[in-house]
Amino acid sequence: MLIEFTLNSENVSVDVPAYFRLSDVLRDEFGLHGLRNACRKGYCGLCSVVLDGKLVYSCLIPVFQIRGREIMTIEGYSKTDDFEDVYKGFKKEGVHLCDYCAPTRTLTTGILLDRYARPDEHQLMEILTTVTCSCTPYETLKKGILSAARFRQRRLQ
Amino acid sequence: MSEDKFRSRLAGQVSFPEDISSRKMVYALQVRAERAPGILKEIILPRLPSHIKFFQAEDIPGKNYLSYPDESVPLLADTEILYPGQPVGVLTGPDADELYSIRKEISLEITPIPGFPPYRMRDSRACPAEKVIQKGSTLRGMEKAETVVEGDFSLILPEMPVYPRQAVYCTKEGGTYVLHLHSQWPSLIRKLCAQAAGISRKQVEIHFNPAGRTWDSHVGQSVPAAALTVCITSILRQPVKLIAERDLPCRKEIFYHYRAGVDQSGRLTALEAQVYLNAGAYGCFSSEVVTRLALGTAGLYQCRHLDIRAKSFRSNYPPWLPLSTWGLAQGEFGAEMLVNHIALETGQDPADWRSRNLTAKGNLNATSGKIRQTPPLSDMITELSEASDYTRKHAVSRQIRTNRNALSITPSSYAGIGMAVSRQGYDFLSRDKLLTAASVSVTLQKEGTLDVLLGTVPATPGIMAIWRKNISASLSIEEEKVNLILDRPDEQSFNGPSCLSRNILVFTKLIDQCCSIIQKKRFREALPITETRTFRRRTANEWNEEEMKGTPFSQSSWGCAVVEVSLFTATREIVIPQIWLTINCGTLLDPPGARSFVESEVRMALTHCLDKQAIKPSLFPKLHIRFEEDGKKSTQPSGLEGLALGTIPAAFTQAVSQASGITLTGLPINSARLLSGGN
Repeated sequence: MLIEFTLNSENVSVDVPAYFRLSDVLRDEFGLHGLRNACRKGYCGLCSVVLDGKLVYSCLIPVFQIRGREIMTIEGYSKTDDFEDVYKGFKKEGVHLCDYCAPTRTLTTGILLDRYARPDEHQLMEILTTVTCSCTPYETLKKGILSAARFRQRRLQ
Repeated sequence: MSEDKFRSRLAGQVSFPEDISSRKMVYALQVRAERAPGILKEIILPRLPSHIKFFQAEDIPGKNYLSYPDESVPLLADTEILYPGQPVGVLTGPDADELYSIRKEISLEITPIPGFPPYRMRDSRACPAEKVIQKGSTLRGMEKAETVVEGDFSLILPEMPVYPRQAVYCTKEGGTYVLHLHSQWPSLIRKLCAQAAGISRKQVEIHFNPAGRTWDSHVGQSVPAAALTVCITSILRQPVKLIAERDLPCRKEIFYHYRAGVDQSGRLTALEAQVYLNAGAYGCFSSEVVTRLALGTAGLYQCRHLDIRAKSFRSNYPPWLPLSTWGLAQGEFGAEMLVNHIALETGQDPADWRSRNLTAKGNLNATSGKIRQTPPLSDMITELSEASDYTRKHAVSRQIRTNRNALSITPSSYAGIGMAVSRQGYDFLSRDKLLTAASVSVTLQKEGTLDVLLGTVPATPGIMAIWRKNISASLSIEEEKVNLILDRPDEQSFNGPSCLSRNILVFTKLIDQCCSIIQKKRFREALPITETRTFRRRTANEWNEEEMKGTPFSQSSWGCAVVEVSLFTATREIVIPQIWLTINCGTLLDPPGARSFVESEVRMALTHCLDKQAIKPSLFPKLHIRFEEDGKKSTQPSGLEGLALGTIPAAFTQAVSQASGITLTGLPINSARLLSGGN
């Protein structure tokens, strides 16, 4: 099945069976390895991508659903100014993420900060919940996210 | 960490084995036996295209077995199939999808044979390891007892998802096989890969991604996959990527039976316990795990008459190698459940019972070694009881449970609270060099740089930063000039696994020793100066594993946990609002790292308790962690691993028992199990 969609601001097409997982297609056909294929059950969140502005677990999405839609992965996101805010925030607060979860954690933090400019405790929990990895304490992560939010606000002012 | 490295990490530019591919690469897919036990008669293959190859046991260029401590495991089964899913061959080809479809067409002719007898039959042929702790005479102890408490517990550990998955990529560069994989034990991988492929150990080079916390003691996990990949690379002389597959369903179960005598004042007069551990089809690493299991079951309480028997038994399930903390925490689960049972039988507050019965300076421990220093547990229990309001909450919940039928209104939820203590020791108790070996080599180069050759896998970036900082401070060298080298096969000696807090306890000490000697030689000898330090195993006089006598651990860490639980009356949904945890692990080298480690271990303990594969942060309880440090400079770090795992499961079970009014005798617990009566 030929599927055309927008990937990281570029129009692309791919010919794969319709039932293939989006995560497999992005990794195998486009070589986007920033998203990890870990649990394949929607537990870990390490395969998160942005589909039409919303975070989704790509391991749970059959590829036919993305026809004509817009997808952004960490590879595309890392070229934006929003990425710089998260980078600076995490760097400032010493958020030492592991290699495995770092890209997805960065992407989910950045995208959720679009929605919650000044996240409260409940919203912070939503940001943390998206990815399940135990490499960094929650307290440190929360500080990093809040710091990223401040960098973002300063830039947008 | 440099800015570029940090940026590339966040941007997802770090490669993992599953991300690597090359032009001439072939995929490898394992073919597994679906039925077991049985004798493999024939592998019936479809007609294979010329670009697809199939390899079986007889094609392995070296030895077709992996020699682990205690028992060897075949790399590819040739005759005897002992568990479903046992690999019998490998398919290779350029297209992964084609391999999957060919695998479906392969059939195996297997003649069924009888399986291993169940552990209740106590057949010695099915018991790879047995350890006995005997002290005094339990017969005499039981005679002195006023009450005899008897019961059974079981602990079934759920399958933990392992990330990163076990993909392996291998390529041959000159005469060297370069492996990309995740591991907690690169030395073992190098040794067994060389053995299987019939090459020298120095020909195997490993580029590994740190395995991380979720790999918890899966020390041998990546070995079979790595050995197979190296074998195929050596035959095909092409890069090979072994496809990672779902882990096989293991049966991680431990059964306890105990009988304890208690006198009028509630003191233990005698303890008899039998513990059975399901080791799977092969009993590798059994001896170490069973020793620690026996020690954990003996508990931390005063008792003159002990008879603890811990055994592993074979079953027709995949072998699962060491479990978290190598059995000590799981043994403590049984001991802490027993303590709670005794306290309830004798009508005492469990916290109070624990404080009064803990061993102290001058007592003999379970293995007749003299206790030289009073454990800090008594103070920790008192502090934690106050912080969590344990005594009041426990009494109230007990009262409500007793008078449940007299309540005119049924509450929407019942509360429960539980407590447990744990001691963790991080020395390997076996004298097997394979486990205990550790060495560090430090070279001060002419250019002023310092090369530190380590044989360990740092699970977190934090520990590398600490080592670099310590070295920089002790030798006055800039941190950028310190090179921590993790893999250099030509110069590296064999090292044990990176688990049981060995990074903190063993390697930090060896690095310090090397640095202080280099500091002395620095301006007296010509550069380069190389210093190597090796870990010294303890003598048989200090600890005799065969007879289970002496002092098992040179250094211990202590933990105490209180778990609070709410149980919804209608749905039996379990919610854990708060957990209090006090830890005494000597000096803390990396406080944020330690907190993160404990947090992740709590999460792992809760997966054990609730039979879930992951605990999302939104369901995670409020965690009150307190690290006790005495502030003395002389105090050494003593490790963190296993303290949450040793305390939380038992405290949780007690809390749910109290809230539900059902005496639970095992883990995991979920709503369905509670609705159907609990056990």
